[in-house]
Formats: sequence, C-alpha cells, structure tokens
Amino acid sequence: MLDTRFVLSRDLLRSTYFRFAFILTSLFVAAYFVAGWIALGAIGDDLDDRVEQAAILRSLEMIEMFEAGGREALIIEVNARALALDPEDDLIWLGTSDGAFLAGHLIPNAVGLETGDVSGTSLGQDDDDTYFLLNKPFDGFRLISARSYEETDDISAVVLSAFGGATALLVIISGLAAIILSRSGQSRIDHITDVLRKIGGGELGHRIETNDRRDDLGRLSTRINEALDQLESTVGGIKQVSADIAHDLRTPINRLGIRLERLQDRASGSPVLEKELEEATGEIEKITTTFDALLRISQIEAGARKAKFGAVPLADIAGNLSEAYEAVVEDAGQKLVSAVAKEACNTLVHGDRDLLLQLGANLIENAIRHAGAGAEIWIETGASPGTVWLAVSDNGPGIPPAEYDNVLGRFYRLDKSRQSPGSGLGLALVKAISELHRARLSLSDAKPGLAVRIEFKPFTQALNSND
Amino acid sequence: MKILLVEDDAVTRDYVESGLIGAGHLVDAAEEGVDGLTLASRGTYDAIILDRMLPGMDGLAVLKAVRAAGNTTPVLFLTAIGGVDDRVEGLEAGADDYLVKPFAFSELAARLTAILRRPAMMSEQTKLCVGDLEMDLVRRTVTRAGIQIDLLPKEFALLEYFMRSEGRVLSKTMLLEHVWDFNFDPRTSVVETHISRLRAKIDKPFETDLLHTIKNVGYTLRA
Repeated sequence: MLDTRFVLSRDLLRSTYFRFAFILTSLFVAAYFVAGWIALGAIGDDLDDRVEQAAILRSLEMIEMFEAGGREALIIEVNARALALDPEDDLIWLGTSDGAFLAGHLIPNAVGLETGDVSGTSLGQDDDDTYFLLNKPFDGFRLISARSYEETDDISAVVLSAFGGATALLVIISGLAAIILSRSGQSRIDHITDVLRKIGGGELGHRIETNDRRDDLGRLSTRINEALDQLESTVGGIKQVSADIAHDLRTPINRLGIRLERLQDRASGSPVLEKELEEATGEIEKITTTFDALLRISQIEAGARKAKFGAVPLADIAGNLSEAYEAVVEDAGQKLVSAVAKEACNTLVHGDRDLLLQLGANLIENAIRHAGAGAEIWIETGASPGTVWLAVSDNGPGIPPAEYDNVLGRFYRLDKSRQSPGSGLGLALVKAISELHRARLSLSDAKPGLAVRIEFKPFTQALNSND
Repeated sequence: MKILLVEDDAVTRDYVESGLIGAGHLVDAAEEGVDGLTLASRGTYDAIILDRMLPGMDGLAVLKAVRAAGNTTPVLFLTAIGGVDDRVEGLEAGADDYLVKPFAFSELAARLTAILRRPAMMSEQTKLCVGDLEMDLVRRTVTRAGIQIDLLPKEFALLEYFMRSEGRVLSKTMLLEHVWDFNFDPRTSVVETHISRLRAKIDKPFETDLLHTIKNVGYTLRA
C-alpha cells in the first residue's frame, strides 16, 4: 500500500489532499506573480527616473562649467565627456542656439529635437532603443543630452529572468511537496477504503492500522475501529443467537417428529389416525422449510457465504436447471424453453454455485406456480459488454409493476396467490442472493407475463473491483 | 456393525439408539463430546454418529480431534443449526455425510448405509447389473432383458446412482445432492418427476418392477 513511486494515478489527482495542495500552490504562485509584477513596475519606474535625472544633472553641470570657465572651458568639458561616455547609449551635443555644432557627439538635426522620449534612429543611432533627450538652451547655446533606457531594460530583463527562475523552482518544489504530501495522505485513505471494502464484503475481522498517530486521520481511524469492534460483536451476537435459536427450536421439533413417528407405528390399523399423523408430519416439514429459508436469508444477508465464491459459468447453471426442471414443467402442463449462451466461458461470474442454482430454481418454481397451465417459461443467459445476465420469464398473467418491490420482501404474497403453496420467501431469497453477488435484480413486464433478470459483473471485472 | 453415537438430547439419543439396535447394530452412546472422543479413540467402530452441538467440547472439535488422530472411521454428522455453511464446515472437518435435524430414522439409516459402503463406490467398473437391467458405463447404454432403453443424461445419472447403490434406500435429499447438485430443498417435485419418467422406461414395459418407493423414506432399486 505504501508505494513511494511518483505515479500520478487518476485516483491521486482526484484525491482531496492533492486538490488541496494544488489549489494552495496555485494561489501561492499567483500571489507571487502579482507581487513580482508590482515590484518590477516600481523598479522600472525608478530606473527611468534615474535616467532622466542623470541627463538633467549633466546639463546643470555643463551650465555650471560655463558660468565658471566660459565658452572654452565648456567646449573642452563637453568634448571630454563625449570621449568618456559610451556613444552606444549615452550622447552629448553642444551647439549654438541656431544649431551650429560646437562640441560633443554628432547628432543629425539636433536643433529640431524636443525634450522627451525619442527613438535611437532619430538620433542617428543604429539601434531602435528609446532615449530620454533633454534639449536645454542657455546663453546662446543649446545643450542636448540623450541617454538610452537600455540599461533599465537590461536590469528589468535580469530581474525578470531571476524572477522567472525562482517561480519555476517554486512551482516544482511546491508541486513535488503536493504530490508527496497527498500520496502519504492518500495511502492512508486507501488503506481505510480497503479495510471498509473488506468489511462490506462480510470480513468483519479487519481493522485500520493507526500506528498510534494522533492526527485527524489517526483519530478518525481509531473511531472507525471502535465502531467496527462494536459491529463485529453485534453481528457475532446475532449469529450466535440465530445458531442458538436454530438449535433450541430444532431439537424440540426433532423430538416432536420422533414422537409422531412412534405414534404412527402404534396407530397402524386406524386409517383416520394415520392420516392425521401424516398431516401433522407434513406440517413439521413446512415449519422446517420456512425456518431454513429464513435462516438462509439472514446468513446470506450477513455476507457469511462470500468465502465459497469461485468462477461459475452462468450458462452451466442455466443448463443444470433446465435439465432438472424440463420434465417438472412439462408435467405442470407448461413448456420450458432454454436459450443459453453458446460460449459458456463468456458467462463466467464470481459467485457461489449452490446459491446461484438455488436462485434459478426459485425463479423457475415461482414461474411454474404462478404462470398457469399452458404457459411458456424461458430461462436465458447471455453476455454483453460489462454484464453477464440470467433471466427467467413467463407468459403468464404477470404481476402489476406497482407490486414489483413488494414481492421481493419477506412473506409478501399477492392476494390471488394466497391459495397456492409457497412460503412467500422464494423471491426474498433471490433478492438476498443477488445482493450478495452485487448483481442487479430487475423485474419487468414480459407482455404478457413476468420477466426477472439478474445482471452480474463479468468474472474478471468482479475480481478486479475486489468487492 | 458397531456404532458410536454421541448425542446430548436424550429423546433423540434413545430414538436413534433403539432404531440402530432394532436394525441389528451394536451401539455405544455418549452424552458429551469428551466422552465421545474417549470412546472413539479406545474402541474400533464401523461408524460414528456425531451431533454438532454438544455440551463442553462441541461436535466439530471432536470430529477434528478424531481425524487428527488418524482415525478414518466414517462419520455421520448431525446438525441442528442447518445453516448454509454448516454442511461445508462439517464435510471439510472430515465428516463423510451430514444430516440436518429434524430427521427421520429412515433417512439416517439410509445415509449411514451409504457411508459404510462408500469405498465400494470408488472402484472402477465398466458395467453395472441389477437383475436383468444392465448399464454400460463406457458406451453409456442401458438394456433390460436385452432391450435397449434410451435415457436422457439426468435419467442416466439417476439410474447409475441407483445401480451403484443396489438394494440401498436413497432418500430424496440424497438424490438431489448426488444427481442434480442441489444442496437445498426445491419446493417442486424434481425427484418424483424424474423417478416416474425413469420408471416409465425401465419398469413399465417389463413384468417386474425394479425401482421401489419406500414410503416416507425414499427409493430403492433391487431385483
């Protein structure tokens, strides 16, 4: 169960733990992104301001130089600056107010340039970076200072890539954390599911391993285990009680039978008495039959029969039943038609052979009793993708659809069938057996008549679902 | 035959004991599981009739102890529980047959005879004969007085069981279990119907009947 491989199974993706981790990670990454975007904007704005300020500062320094040293000093300083600056992204130009070039870098059409953002090409540069340009006229001079924003863009790019890398790392780490955490949580949930599934299958002895963990799942597991202890002792009690009842009732019934048999020996010669005693013996048989059926239903419902499950071809069951009942049906003035799937291996189900035989027998006997003389009774099996089915139907009077649920209950009998023999437990047993096999039992109108169909999961599928 | 009977209910014990004695058997009776086990390990019995529910050590435990000691005496298990799994549980523990209470002595006697003779049934035979009735197990044909009789597969299986148990009474439940694999009691006349069809084929056309009904017990085939 504790599989540490990183397998992104569908169950894992569907798990509450994984979803929780996934949502948390997504929210975290989104918040990180918004914060980063705001920070990047602020850094960019700040860097842009610095570019503008640097250009303004340089103009002011040149003006100061002129005021201190006059025209010659200004020209020398501008040329010196022009040499020191990188002409790729930092330009300085000095001219007269009518546009004649005096010093610095060569800028075509320098006079026509306005203060503000300009493109590199308009400055005669061979790149298309954006530049901040300051056109400052003073004392018959014109000083142009242009500085590229490239540095800002470079820094932004560095920040952005660092940020992107960090985000990717964050997503990977938190994603892995999500998988690891959800896997460990999921494996515990899987263990709980597995145990509960076995309990559902009637194996009441299983318990969840808690390993003394006191977290929420640990506490939940402890509570479930306590509930299971209670359930097991209750079911055990019921089983003991029904075994006791069975014993305590059968023993006196047995004695009664013995006494009646002795009386029968003594009564020989008195036909009236003999007949009475014979009828009394018949009543004992009826009591035990009903008693057995009830006991059987309750044991099947408790899931006690699961251990006897194996591969059973439904076609075999239907074949056995039609062999056993063909003559019986014929004697009842009816006809048994068997339409059994040709390839028996296609009708394999996971089940209890004895119980499946009894299920089919009960359905056929029900049809014999209620379909009336001259009726046809069909027993069919077949397979379609995902199901293997057994159906028994007749063309008798059928039963009203409103009664379908009722007739599956215990001791329920339609008014008109009160007169015919039967315990009223036949269909209840069919229902209990179907449920034990997790098969779908459906009644429908065969127009005319009753059709009872039981759909099973195919053998391999039933095994894989581990139910 | 010497038979050990372990049963706690006095009425049932006396009934079975007197029935067995009446049939000419020697009977040792025990009331409790421990006594039964002691007797079973001391004496040599031809068969043991063992009740499932006994005070102290229960029947299943006695049966397991008997088998664990290497004792292969045929055991007929009596159970008052009659639940769906009790039969299998008993057979798995090593019982040769089981009987659910309430039962008639005749049914018990029929089953007892069957388990006492069980080994004979295992022998490989190719031909079975009862009077002038012959069954060829290889060719799967049946003749009576030389006349071929056509049987359906289940009729053949039913007749085979009767012929292998010649002279013994077979109860309705035994036939259902053996021939149809039905470990439950169908409420219709599966057995009766097949018996009457079989009779129509093997008895009716001939002068003497071979298949007899034993009232309240079952059927027997004898010449």
